[in-house]
Amino acid sequence: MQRRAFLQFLTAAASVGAVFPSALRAAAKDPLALSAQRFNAARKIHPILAGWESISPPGTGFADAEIKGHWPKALRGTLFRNGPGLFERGGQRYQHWFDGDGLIQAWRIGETGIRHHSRFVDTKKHRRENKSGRFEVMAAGTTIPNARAVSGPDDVNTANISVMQLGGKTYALWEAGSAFEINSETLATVGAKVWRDDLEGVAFSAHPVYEPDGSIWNVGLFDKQMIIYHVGADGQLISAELVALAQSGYMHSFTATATQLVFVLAPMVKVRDAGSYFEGLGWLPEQGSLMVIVPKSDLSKPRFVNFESGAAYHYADAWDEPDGAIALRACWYKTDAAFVSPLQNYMQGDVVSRATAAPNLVEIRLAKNAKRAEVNATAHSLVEFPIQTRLMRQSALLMLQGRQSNKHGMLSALLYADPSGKRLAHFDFGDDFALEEQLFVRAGGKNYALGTIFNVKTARTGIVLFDLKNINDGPIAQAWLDRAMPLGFHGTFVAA
Amino acid sequence: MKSIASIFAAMFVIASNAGAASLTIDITDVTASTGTIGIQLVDSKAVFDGGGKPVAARQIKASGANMVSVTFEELKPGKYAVMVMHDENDNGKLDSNIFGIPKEGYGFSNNPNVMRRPTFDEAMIEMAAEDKAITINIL
Repeated sequence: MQRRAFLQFLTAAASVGAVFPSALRAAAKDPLALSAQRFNAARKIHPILAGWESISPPGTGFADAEIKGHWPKALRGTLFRNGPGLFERGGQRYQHWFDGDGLIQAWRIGETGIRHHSRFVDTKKHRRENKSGRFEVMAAGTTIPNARAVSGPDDVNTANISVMQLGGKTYALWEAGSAFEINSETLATVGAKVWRDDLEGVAFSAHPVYEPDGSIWNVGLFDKQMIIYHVGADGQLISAELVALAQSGYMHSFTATATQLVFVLAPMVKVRDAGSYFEGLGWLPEQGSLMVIVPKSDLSKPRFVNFESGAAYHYADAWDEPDGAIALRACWYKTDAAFVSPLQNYMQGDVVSRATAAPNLVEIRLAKNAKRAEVNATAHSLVEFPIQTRLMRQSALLMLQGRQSNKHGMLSALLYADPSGKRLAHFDFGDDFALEEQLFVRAGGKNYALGTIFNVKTARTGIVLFDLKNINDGPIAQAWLDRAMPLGFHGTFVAA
Repeated sequence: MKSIASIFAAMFVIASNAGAASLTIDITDVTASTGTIGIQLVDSKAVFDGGGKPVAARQIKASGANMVSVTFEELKPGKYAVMVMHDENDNGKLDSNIFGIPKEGYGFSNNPNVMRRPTFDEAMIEMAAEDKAITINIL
């Protein structure tokens, strides 16, 4: 019988409170309808809000991008991007950027030019809500009045965080539910990926860590249970290990040294048994952050270390030191204030200028046999989206940077830096641009950074290409759509 | 607390009660066309939690129809709850994944939105002397 597993499910849910609990009573005035009205009125005046404007399902057809500069012949392939692309239904608007259904964008960089198209991931939620024309289930950060009951996270899965290519297949990734396989050419959804029978519907998060052999590590979290995946370069599951945690917390990504997987859970815990997931979280600094260190050679032997409270969406790099210590660099938020709902003002149609809320780069060090990890500041502030530098020299960092003086509070610069503080190269597009995640791409023996960019003044979306040897002079090539696409989170480049 | 699975096994026992009212249950969102849909009517928290026999139970073979209906007759006035399990592969249990999240369909009266097993109070319905009809959505 299934007694133990189901009881575990029930007990977990009871201890943390309902993840997506009962619908709230409808407010006298529907705040989601008011939000839609406010956003759409503001959108007519402020082009920057195009970054949070809905795309109509099923997506956008092929469009040729306007080419600028020189695109190297050796660089051919597809830049896949993922992010929330649908924010309103039935006159209601989400309040939180992370809520929108996942929209996969493909920038096809070919011989004759660069073409763009996009398509929503056809999750259960997306299909159900397309049919009814209204929000049906609780969103990640918005309470949906009269939301229907759900069985598990996959009922609310938006598949909106990143894209992974593995074993010749392309996947849209979320962090609390299944990965969705998508057709690499058409972007049509193939279906939810089941890595193994007992892993159906289990979280497969959005930041897999690659090994030199092309295999990946990944993680899924459900209350105080964590699953660690190792999947081969051929896309076949090598192993999956369940780790029991003494405390719950929030985790978006993780990192790894050559020998250890390192997971950090922020002290964000379900404290309110009402509303959406993010609305129900509380910041519990007394609990501290939890570091879980798991040897790659034996996933059944995790170590747990508590340390000072903080949270990171993203990690730059991690390494083993000769004395047995491990160290990692993270874009670190000291509290949940700027962490829990980034750029919420724009999502809600509020264009009042506010300070850039990006985190600072820290180095987190755990000495051999130490009971606590230490968090040390670095010289780099207002940095996010560190670039996975597994193919670059480890001592240099590539990331996006903001500026307190940026009038839109957006990240606008590409920074190439020495971790000791030296700025090796830097290019700032200025206040009229929001630079999105840049990916490390190697083509024709050269190293590039490739990623999307949004012109907040003209409401156009494009891609830019940097030669990493010459960042200071700006991008060597660009390609621009004549329209805006919603701002996204992460992606991957797949060479042709 | 007994598991839903053990209650499911007890569903096949059908009891009868003298009474006046009938309860009709429309079960919607039946997405799998295989297996057996088990419906169990209980009249106390203890039985809801697996500590006794249900007032009534019924099982229906899934046929591909999105909705099935069942009526329990002659129910005395009082508090009841209805539990529905869809054993889609007829293996006699509610399959779940490694986290313990059910992989097969289930539902409760009142359709509580709790993403965990609801309590008896959350699933409780009142029967008076009149006939009653409810809808349970399979999750």
